[in-house]
Amino acid sequence: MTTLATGALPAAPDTVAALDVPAYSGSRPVMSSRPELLDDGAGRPLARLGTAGRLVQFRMAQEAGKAARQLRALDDDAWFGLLRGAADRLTAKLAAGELDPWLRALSAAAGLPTRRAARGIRTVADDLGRMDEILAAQSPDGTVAAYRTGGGHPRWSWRPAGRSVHVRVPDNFPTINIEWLQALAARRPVLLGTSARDPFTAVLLTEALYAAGLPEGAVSLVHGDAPALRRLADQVLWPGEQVPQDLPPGKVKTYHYGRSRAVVGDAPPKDAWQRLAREAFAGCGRLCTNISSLVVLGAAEEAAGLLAEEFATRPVLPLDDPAATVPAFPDRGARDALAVRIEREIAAGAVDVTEAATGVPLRVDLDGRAFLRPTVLLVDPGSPLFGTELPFPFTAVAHVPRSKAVAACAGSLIVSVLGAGDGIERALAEEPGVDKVFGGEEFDRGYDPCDPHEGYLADFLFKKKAVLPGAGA
Amino acid sequence: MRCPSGSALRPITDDDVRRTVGLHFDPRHGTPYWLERDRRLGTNALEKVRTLQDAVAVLGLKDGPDQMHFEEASRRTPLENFVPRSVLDKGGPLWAAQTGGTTGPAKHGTWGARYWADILDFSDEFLDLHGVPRNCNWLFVGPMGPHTTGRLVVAFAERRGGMCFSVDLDPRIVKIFGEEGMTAAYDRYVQHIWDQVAEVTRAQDIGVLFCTSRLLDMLPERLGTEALPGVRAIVHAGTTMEPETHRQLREDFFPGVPVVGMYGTSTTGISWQKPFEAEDDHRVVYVPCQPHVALDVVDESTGTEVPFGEEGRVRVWRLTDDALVPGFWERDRARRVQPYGVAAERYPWPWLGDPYSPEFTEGHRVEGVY
Repeated sequence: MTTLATGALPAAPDTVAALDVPAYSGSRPVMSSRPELLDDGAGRPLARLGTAGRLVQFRMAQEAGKAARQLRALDDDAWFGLLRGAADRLTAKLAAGELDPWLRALSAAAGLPTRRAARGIRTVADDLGRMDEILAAQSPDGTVAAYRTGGGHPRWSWRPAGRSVHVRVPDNFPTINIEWLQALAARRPVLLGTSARDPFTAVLLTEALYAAGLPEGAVSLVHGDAPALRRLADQVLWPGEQVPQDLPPGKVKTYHYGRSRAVVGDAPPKDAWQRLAREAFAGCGRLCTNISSLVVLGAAEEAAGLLAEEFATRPVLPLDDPAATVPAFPDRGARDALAVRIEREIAAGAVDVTEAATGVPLRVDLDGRAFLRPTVLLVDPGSPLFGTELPFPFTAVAHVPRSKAVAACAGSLIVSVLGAGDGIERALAEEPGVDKVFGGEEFDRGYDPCDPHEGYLADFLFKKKAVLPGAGA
Repeated sequence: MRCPSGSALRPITDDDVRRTVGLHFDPRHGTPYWLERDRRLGTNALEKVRTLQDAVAVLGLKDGPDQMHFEEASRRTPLENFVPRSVLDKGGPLWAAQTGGTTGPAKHGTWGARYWADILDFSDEFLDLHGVPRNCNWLFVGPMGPHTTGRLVVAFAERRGGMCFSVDLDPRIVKIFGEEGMTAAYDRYVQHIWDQVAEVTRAQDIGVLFCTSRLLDMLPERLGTEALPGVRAIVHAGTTMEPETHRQLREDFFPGVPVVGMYGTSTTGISWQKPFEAEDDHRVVYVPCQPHVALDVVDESTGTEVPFGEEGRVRVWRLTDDALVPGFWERDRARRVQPYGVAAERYPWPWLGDPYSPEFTEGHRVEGVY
């Protein structure tokens, strides 16, 4: 472990005054007599969170049921105009610095560089402003009208599979809020549950939406676990792979989990390493689209070295440094546990290529915060870390023979293919365990909400029904 | 609302203290546990305790090994050790109470016939103050068996001219579900409770619902808002009730129906919510049932009472013939409340606001059924 700056306590969090972050029952903020306290992981308070008991959650679910009809009655121009209005409002507040206290709290709570957190919120606001485009891509007839009318097919009508959806929002990076915004844009009332380290982004979006005229009850928000919402919502979107036992399988769709990989052949483009590194650092390395493993068909040592050189240009910096891209771990114990996993692999023969390139050890303490230095690890393809997604910029690199490359990519969300030939791309596209394949100039396409991503969300929220006669009724 | 002039409650006097100390610390006829502690600590309570202040200084349990000794003795030794010999010799019923058992093996305590009768008297007083109707049936949804609440509520209903239907629940198995992360089992158990409630309410004419606060919070979600059309009063006990929940119950789900809180423990006693007034701001404030029980809200570091309006740890004193509990440090925290409003003159001792158990509101346990 290294300490790059001294001082027992970090400077930045001391400047953060505790914010009141209410729950929302529709547009009504809900605090409580004894709010939950959110701290920065070192005991310094950042926010008081409104708690919403089960009765409040019951009301939220009731209001959501009523709002469903209202949302479907809005014409398309008014609806998507409202969403654009909310996006513009949020973007303007960001630009004016009005959200700075929120950004500082988010940074301290989640360990995100402040500027990256702001960029994440701006990105999600941008996506909110183009929801018509995103939803049209998912519609069976390519129009946004289908969400309202059921489409014009003579034999079936595309109808909601539920009146409300409960969405648990993870706290890895603000852009993850795109999931529930898509559900809302599809005119589905949303019952939100925020996660421990980011109660902020969803509240900012909710406030912007109501300020833009969102119908009452279309969004409600609870901080933390929301057992009543899980029960009462018709459908549930749950992040990651560990679904609560009380959710029946047909009711829930998991989202934004998974591991992304890249396959590198003999002739990668010149700027390949720079672009791959950018993909590894997107969202501070906390996204399911980050390239966590590099399948190298040729010399893995050389590839790891080139990638490590790019990683080395993105050092650990204080979270308030505008150039910072590396996240901190608010939970020091979690940081140490991850470090031990990596150190075990190194003890077993893996090579920490970035240490060689930078001279910086794996564990870094900076301004009292715990970091892991961005890491390129040269491993054996049988290593448990090859194919594992870690919540910071981390890529495991291994040589894999061409004949085993497709098998090595099974269980991937995205596979980027660079200079490996069309045959591998075709084989990966046929592999059921691979969700997305990007090659050619688009190998670093990453996440675009217009693309299917674990399928289209609309396919879960809607179903085709035989409604005869008059399927369009 | 006006309070009637008579009350079964009154402030604790020094006479009450001397009488209780004389009973429990009588060298020949006193209480074995307290006599042994008196010898062990050299407190000489019989000589030194004349006033309530003396009792606080001399008798009060010290948080730490002293209280732990008392707790473990109440778990592991015969209950008779905590009852004066004179009371045992006199005979008469003694209710052997057990605590919920959610913080370890259950502790034991007694409720003598006199104390039981006093509790029923002042409970009637408070139920009348709140407008809880007489001559109607009650439905109790809570722990029966060894838990005092169930037996108490049956007595409330019968004294007030109704029958008491009941749906039992076992908080100890819920504790196991929580500790072992058995969320599906918890959910199934809760559904089992509500299925039974639905059966009773379908067939029976229920005027008063008594329910744990936690389950009450789930009622509309599990049974819908029309499930109890004939209910004319709701009484709840258990964990904290948020002001917003209280407001919703009164205004949204059961408009015009009294919603009354009861706070206490199985081995000490109960307190009733003060009569509801607008200035409560839907906070739930309790009136300790002096002279039987006093509830202090104290600063843990100094052991002294916190100023009115501030939060501290609840410390309970029970001064009754069959049992002495000298300043037991509850796990709960609460706000110390200066009496106000229509009942201030009638109950002029410190009240208790918004009590809660930190262990149930913090951490990651599966929520309970209390």
